[in-house]
Amino acid sequence: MQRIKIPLGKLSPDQLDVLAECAEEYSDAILHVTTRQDVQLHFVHIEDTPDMMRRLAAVGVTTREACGNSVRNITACPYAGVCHTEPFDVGPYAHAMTYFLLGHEDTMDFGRKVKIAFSGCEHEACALVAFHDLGCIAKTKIVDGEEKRGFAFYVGGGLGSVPQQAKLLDPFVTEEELLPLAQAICRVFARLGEKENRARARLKFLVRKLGEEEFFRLVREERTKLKTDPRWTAYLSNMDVVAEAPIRPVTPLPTGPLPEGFAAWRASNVRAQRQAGYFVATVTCPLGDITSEQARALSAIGRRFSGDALRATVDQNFALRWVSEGDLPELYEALRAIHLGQPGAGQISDITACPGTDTCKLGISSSRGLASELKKRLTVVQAGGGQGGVPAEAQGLHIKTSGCFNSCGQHHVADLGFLGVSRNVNGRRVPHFQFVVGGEWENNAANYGLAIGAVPSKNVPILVEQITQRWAKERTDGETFRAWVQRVGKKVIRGMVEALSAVPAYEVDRSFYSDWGDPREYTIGDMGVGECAGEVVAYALMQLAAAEREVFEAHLLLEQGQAEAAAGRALSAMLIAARGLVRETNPDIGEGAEEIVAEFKARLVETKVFWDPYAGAKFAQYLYKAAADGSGGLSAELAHQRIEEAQLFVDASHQAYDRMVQARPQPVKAAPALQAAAEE
Amino acid sequence: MEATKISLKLYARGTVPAEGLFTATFHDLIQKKELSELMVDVVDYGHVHEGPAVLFVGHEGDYALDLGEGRPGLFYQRKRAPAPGDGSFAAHLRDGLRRTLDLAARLEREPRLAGLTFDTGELLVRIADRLRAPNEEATFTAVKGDLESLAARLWGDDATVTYERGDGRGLFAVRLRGASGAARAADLLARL
Repeated sequence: MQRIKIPLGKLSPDQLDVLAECAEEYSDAILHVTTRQDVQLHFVHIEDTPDMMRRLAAVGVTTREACGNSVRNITACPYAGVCHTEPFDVGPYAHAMTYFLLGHEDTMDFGRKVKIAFSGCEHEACALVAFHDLGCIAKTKIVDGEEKRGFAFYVGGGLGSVPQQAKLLDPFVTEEELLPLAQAICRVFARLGEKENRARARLKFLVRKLGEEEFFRLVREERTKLKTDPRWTAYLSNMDVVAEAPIRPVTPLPTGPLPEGFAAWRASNVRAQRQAGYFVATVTCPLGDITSEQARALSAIGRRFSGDALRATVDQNFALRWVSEGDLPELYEALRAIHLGQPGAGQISDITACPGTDTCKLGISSSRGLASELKKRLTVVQAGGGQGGVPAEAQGLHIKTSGCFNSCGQHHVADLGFLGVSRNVNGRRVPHFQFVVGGEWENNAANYGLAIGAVPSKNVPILVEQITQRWAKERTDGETFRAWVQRVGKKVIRGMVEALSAVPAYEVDRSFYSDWGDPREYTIGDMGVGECAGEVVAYALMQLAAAEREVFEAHLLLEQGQAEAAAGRALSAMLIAARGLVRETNPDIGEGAEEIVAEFKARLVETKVFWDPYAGAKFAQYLYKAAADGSGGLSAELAHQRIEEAQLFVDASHQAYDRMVQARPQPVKAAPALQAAAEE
Repeated sequence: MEATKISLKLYARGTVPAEGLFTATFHDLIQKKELSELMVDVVDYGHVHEGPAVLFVGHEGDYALDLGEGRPGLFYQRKRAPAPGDGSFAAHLRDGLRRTLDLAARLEREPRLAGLTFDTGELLVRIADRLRAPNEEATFTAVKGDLESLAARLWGDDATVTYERGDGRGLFAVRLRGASGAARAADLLARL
């Protein structure tokens, strides 16, 4: 896979043409728009990449640091510069930070990636600042009677298996301080961030480990040490760097009959710009994919209607800006002619999905297969307003699917989120999805949902149907899906999930034992190198992630007042983690608690692998005690204590896993000459 | 002409079976290692309009149930020249067509794809290499002889070779047609 950086998602028709050519000549003729406003091409031969990179560079596109432990593509609101509610255009700032940090020596020694986003408005979804390592929201402030531009600066957000909201580092960072502050954060992260254990290496873990105050103190201290760099402010004299101008005059909507379907498309896909008479039209790309033919046609449409003003969006679509109102019907017809004129942008049928098992080897379940199936069913809603089993009121909801716990599909911030998991049913693997509710897309992703239970993949469409119907029926005036979930309680929602959790016997219905879009019998045997991490994730790490989710489930149960069940899940979390570690040396380990504890003690504790240099076997004792005590009759206070212990146990398990990896014999490196010969 | 990135499309007659059946068939071919080349994955692009609905990914080349032009067919695109080869366009073209027809014949024989047949009187040839084969008359002049020779071998003297430039932005493309198509893909393969 070749990931191609599109800073701010901004690309010209010429660049889109070259991307289409590259897709056709080096890939599979499909361009995939990602949730980071990148474009990805799949199944590219490594030998073809130098040619492709040169062609991309010729039109000002880079692939540098699109992957790996680097500053990834910097995203920005696709409406920046034309939005009604932004105080100013964040585009020049995002552009400046992109090229300031690209290849900067202070970004070369990270233990993990850094994601940065710029948003113009605090209360919109915009750039989803809350789950970014660094997030900037435009602000203005009156200083000495003069309006100054700046940013509310957030750090340490992230999704992944354990999502964390970004913390406000500074409510107003001036535009002159923006780049040096980012540089200082990069230096602190590079110096103190985790390097060995990738599962703990994101900035959010460093912020958590040090504590907000200490992290902030270190950043400010680092800032004072920086040598002045003229680039910090040089960009301020070139604020037109991302400026766009309309190519068509403002004209009114034509009188007379409008094309069939235009009204629905306009209602969902078109948004007025701040500049009177101009509009942003969103081009819905199914699951973020378009063919090279469509891309070429889209670039021609862009040249005709909006000039140099295309944007890839975090919703995996394209936006055409500066479209004159009078051109909208013609634009719609042109898009419809290439089958990109579907309505429903940003609505329930416009589903975000990571690549999942299609191309990512970390994928557990087929997120794209599920999304594709849901899209087929939900498109009926768009056409018929309430048909297809889902009520018309549900059109404004968001569905997001991830193939695994790494959240590339951003399931935590959806109304209805799904993350792929597998379950063992009578000795056979069955693809499932955890159902995540309570997330909030708006307000820059201000709230994360929690998994409340898993359903077999094949039952997900039924769950979507049932839960949206119930919401539509029970909601009070204007009540959001999230507010309704909070009102009726997660217990009720969980009940709906549980009612769909049964898996028929293999002999009765084999369809449950294969995934969407893949008729083969389901397996997770081909997991390995992932697109998101770019590294092999071992089975033990997968289990540790599963254990962390189990801890979250325990939290949830405790919130619901189910202390015993919560304590049970906390114990379960420890057992999952312990088993994952034991399986490294005993692949035949069973699933019984007694066996797991005994094996864990013999293989990991007595050998001092699961052993804290200061606390010794303290964390192991948590497991022994919980397994011995069971969960019956535990008070809320004791359950709370056990959940804390479980989290500490899982954390200690990560440390133990590190020691296990380090203790492995390292592969012998061939002498350079032999290496070169082998590569030839 | 040294272009190796040849793509071919053999059109299906009438409607084609459901896409999921192709997915299953391609997976079977991987698992049973039935093809002489390394095939690695199957991807569902059924949600994309007139795209490679079911992509069958290989190391040297990809196949697909392709819905481009609104006409379903079996698509092949060579990404790598298998070694050894004589390197000429004619050799790559013939080898690519042999692979395409071989897979087409297998699909026609596949019980789960019952009813699937291919139109053996038409073939779309494209070269996915704008550097070596720009979409212009000069490229056609360079490869015309090889294409005519191949078409004559498949269909005899009544074969036609037509350059399709389109708007000039697409790949170099030529359509081969012959009135004396074979009954099955395997029969056309035998003529090669």
